Amino acid sequence: MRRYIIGRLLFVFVVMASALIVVFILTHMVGDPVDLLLPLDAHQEQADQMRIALGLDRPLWEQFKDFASRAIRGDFGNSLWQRRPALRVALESLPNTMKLVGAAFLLAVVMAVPLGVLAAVKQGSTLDKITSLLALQGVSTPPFWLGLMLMMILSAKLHWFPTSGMGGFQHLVLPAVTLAMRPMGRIAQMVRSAMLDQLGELYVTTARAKGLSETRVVMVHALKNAAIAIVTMAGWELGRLMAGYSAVVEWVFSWPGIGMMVVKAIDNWDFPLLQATVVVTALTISLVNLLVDLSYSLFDPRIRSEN
Amino acid sequence: MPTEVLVRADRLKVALSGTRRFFADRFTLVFAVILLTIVFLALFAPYVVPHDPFGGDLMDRLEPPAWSQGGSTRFLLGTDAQGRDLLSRLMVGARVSLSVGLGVVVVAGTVGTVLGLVAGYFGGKVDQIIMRILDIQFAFPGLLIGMTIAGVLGPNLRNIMIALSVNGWMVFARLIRGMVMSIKARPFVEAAEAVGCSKSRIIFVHIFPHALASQSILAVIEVARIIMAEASLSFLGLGIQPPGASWGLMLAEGREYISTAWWLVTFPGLAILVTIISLNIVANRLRSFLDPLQQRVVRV
Amino acid sequence: MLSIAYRKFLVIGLILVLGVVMGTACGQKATAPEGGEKSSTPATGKKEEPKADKQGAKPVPKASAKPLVIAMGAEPATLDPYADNDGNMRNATANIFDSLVVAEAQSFNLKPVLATRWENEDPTTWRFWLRQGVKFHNGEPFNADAVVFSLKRILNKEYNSPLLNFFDGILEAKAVEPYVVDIITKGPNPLVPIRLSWLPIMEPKHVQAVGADVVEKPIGTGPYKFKQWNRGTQIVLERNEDYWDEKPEIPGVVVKFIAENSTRLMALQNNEVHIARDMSPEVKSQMPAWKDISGMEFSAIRLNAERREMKDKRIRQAMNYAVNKEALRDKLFNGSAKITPCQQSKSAYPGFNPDLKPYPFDVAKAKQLLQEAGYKGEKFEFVGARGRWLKDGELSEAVAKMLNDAGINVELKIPEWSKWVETYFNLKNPVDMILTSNSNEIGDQDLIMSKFAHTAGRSSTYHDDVPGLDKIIDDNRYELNIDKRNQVYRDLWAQLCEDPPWIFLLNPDDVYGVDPFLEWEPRQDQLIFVKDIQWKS
Repeated sequence: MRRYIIGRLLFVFVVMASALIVVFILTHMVGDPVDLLLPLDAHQEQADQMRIALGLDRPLWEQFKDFASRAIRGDFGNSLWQRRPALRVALESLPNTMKLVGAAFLLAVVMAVPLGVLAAVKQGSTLDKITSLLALQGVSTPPFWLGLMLMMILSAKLHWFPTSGMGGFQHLVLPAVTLAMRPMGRIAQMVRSAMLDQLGELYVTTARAKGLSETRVVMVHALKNAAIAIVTMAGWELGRLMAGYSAVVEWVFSWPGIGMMVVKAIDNWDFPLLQATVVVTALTISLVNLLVDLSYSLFDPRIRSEN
Repeated sequence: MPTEVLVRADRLKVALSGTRRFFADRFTLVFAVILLTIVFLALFAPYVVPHDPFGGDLMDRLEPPAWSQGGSTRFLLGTDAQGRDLLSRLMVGARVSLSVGLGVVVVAGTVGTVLGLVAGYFGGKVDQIIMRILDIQFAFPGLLIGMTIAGVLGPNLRNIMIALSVNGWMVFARLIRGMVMSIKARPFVEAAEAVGCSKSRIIFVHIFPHALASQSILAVIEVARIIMAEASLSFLGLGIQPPGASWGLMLAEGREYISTAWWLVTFPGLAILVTIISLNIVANRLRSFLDPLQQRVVRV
Repeated sequence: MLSIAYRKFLVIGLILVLGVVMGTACGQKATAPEGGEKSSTPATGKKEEPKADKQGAKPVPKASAKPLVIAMGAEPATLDPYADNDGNMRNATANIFDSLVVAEAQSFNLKPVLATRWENEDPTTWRFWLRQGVKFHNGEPFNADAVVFSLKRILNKEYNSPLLNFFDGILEAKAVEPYVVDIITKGPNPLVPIRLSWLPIMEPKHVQAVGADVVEKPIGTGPYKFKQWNRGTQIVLERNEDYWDEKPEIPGVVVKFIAENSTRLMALQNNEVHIARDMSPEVKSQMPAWKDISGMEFSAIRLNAERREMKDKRIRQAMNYAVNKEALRDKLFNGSAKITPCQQSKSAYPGFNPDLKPYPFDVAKAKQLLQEAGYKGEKFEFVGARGRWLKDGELSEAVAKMLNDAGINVELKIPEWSKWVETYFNLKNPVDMILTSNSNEIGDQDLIMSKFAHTAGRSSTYHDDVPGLDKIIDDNRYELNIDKRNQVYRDLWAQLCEDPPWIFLLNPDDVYGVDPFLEWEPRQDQLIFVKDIQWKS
């Protein structure tokens, strides 16, 4: 187990290194951010001065060496747009995204698991159909569109929720619901089919024959065995949410998360910030994946010995 | 000779009745027809558009759909802020959405399938290297990298396809690798090896057809996912640029008018919704049809 | 296999969902009040109030104890007022810092603030007498040293302030007495007072003490004190109880960042914000109330007057004739814009030429001119912009179409912003046509002339000196006789109108969504001084 964790942590390190390389190559492929950063009426000498200050006059290889050695120490330079350490800006927005993604994910799981289980148990019933419909709708509705519609109806017309921004619980409702639709649909589908698989297994029939209550059969035996498939899927969806899927929702609801930061960084051609946000996100996703993998052992002791 | 003819005839019959059985389900039929209509419109958009989708007259600006108050039959779904016909733009937008969806799936699907086949068949070092790269990429923030690629290369059709392809191959590779590993242990593969078939022949002629069904299902689902991703990129201004048209861009342009001209956000949103629902339903049907034993959701 | 009941269910469900969406949307249209669309209204217009009732929300009169919430499109990068030229930042900083003087809301006439009076001592010296007894938020006194420090800071070449060009020609400040300051200029500089209205006065000791943190810790003498900055969400200011002037009525200011225009509108409808900036004229009828004012941006298309075909001024004139500016104004901007009167200037600006009229929309005339010039359909590349200025993308597309309709072969490209900037500054190989929007915050014609018509300008039309233009611009910059100086600019504009280096387009209005219970008038420079705002009782 210990070797396994060390191996996984080493892997996280490899991911980070690759992310650094990719992001450096990407952000240095196009020319010069200086003209973008200065106002349109700035003088030429101001532009030259800035170019030197940013080190853009040096060879690419030197820039990379410098970049990599500083990045390892957590120094991505100052955000060109915010004029503060880029890593600090990225780390400030990370908790906001985690809050939003966490709420959305929780909502998705809390809705999807019971729905999926009930749908599987009562296969073919109205509830099963509602679940399928919700799942299909969830994965098919463009989130930015749904967000705008919810905002138009629930905020601008009915005044139930604030339109945008971050604040108390009320601010969280609309973006979290919007973001939760897709993972909810995917997880519900997965729970349903995994449960159907399990309910058809021999051990379930045996358990029933032994006279165990149906609730116990479903909740304890079948659900536990379906758990690995469900956790894999849920973990994957959680990674997706972190990986930029939340960006459009953050944008629509002015939620100051990491996805919004990336869009703004691209907009302002702020490559230190872009580098910092992408690397921070890669790290977060790696850790989420690691946690998902570790949680397998909770459900299936065999995995511990296998590794 | 007669046996061979018989086999051919049988195959034809099976194929025909299969097609019939596939569409016997009227529910699927409806969505398949919708999907085919969208594909048709996308293919022939330049010939069937009622108006020029890129040039409008300011005088016709923001006309509501025909059935609304103040609308006219000239513009069935109304006009946008430039006075361009919304229906025509939706058709051209379908072209963009579908070509991005199909293009990316073809590129990423081919690359991913080949890599997955190779990794699964040869195993060992090759497998490890490919799977490590795959794992690393899975840990990348895919959409964020996609946004960065599109932003860096300059947002246009080609670059979006690049951005989305780069992140699209892994699911294909992972799915087929698992299948290959179970298929290659079967007797007919061993037989082919014993007869001395070349490795590439074994992979593509003997193994690949058995994985084709699940790969196609995955491809359909991926088309849906890519269409959504393109719409998201365009919505954020990192996709198709005006005066071009894509559903995501139309939504992005229309959101300014969400409270004054509802049709501008409603129809492109519905277009995406209906297309993706149709793709999902067709994929579901395909799954239960091609692979009745494997009812499970394709894991991606 | 799906059962029949299931299928029916799914279809009905789908129809229901779509129906709800379209139903609400259609319903909205039905209740959306008509009118207000054609209104070429006076500078400030306001919807009758029952509108707010119709929207379902009954705004109750606000208690004066409520802070004012301003919503804008983008988060400022800094609160160091010299570090950026950013209207969004100034929503906060204009209330935290005072300048020596300030322009009136709709003109460039100056009012005293931290200076009580000022005089031109000799051609290169302006003397300012300062207000006494004023304290910074940290308790330090305001005096001549603060002015000297502030000016030195903004002029520091290494600091590289984006506002530098507002201070062209100013050399330094000298403290003559504790409350008297001399501003020394390179040559005669008639506009020193208006230039100084763009210099918020900072506190020397504080700036030196906090170092780089000054971006997050602004200390001024203004009516509001900085309280906190919730990154990504809002900036909060509180009333300065020791303000040297009359104490403001509104106890605090919240500046919110809402990127989406439609979200900003909905936030206004939901009573979350009281002033929403940069609103689209279309949504006037959707807002509880609105105000507009003639803005400072002038949109124009810069032409490459030195390219072979376009060297002939008749082609450039034809382009001006070919654009239907009335349609742009009435349709695209819903009437909320002025047609640029053949100069990037308006009557509020000194040096405005009232005799110039916009090129009328006359396709026949355009075609005739093209023919006379021997134009044979050579292609012109037109670089548009999108997402930077109000309706810029739509403007680009509409103008391109009008030009094509008049037989001018224009190919429109709308690149992303970074490419636009690259193209804009590429004067070695200038693009044929590019959409720009220029503002002139100090009302000095020289700012426009030396940027766009002088061969040394960083984004100028001209590479070769159009006979003597450079010299006229250079000489007139330092002309102290205001009447004479303005007359030269009037003549220059007449010349540039007749031989146009641009297609003159529009001067859009700034539209604000406001709470109906707010007593406030917008300014042409977009500054929002909260101390002048009150709640209606």
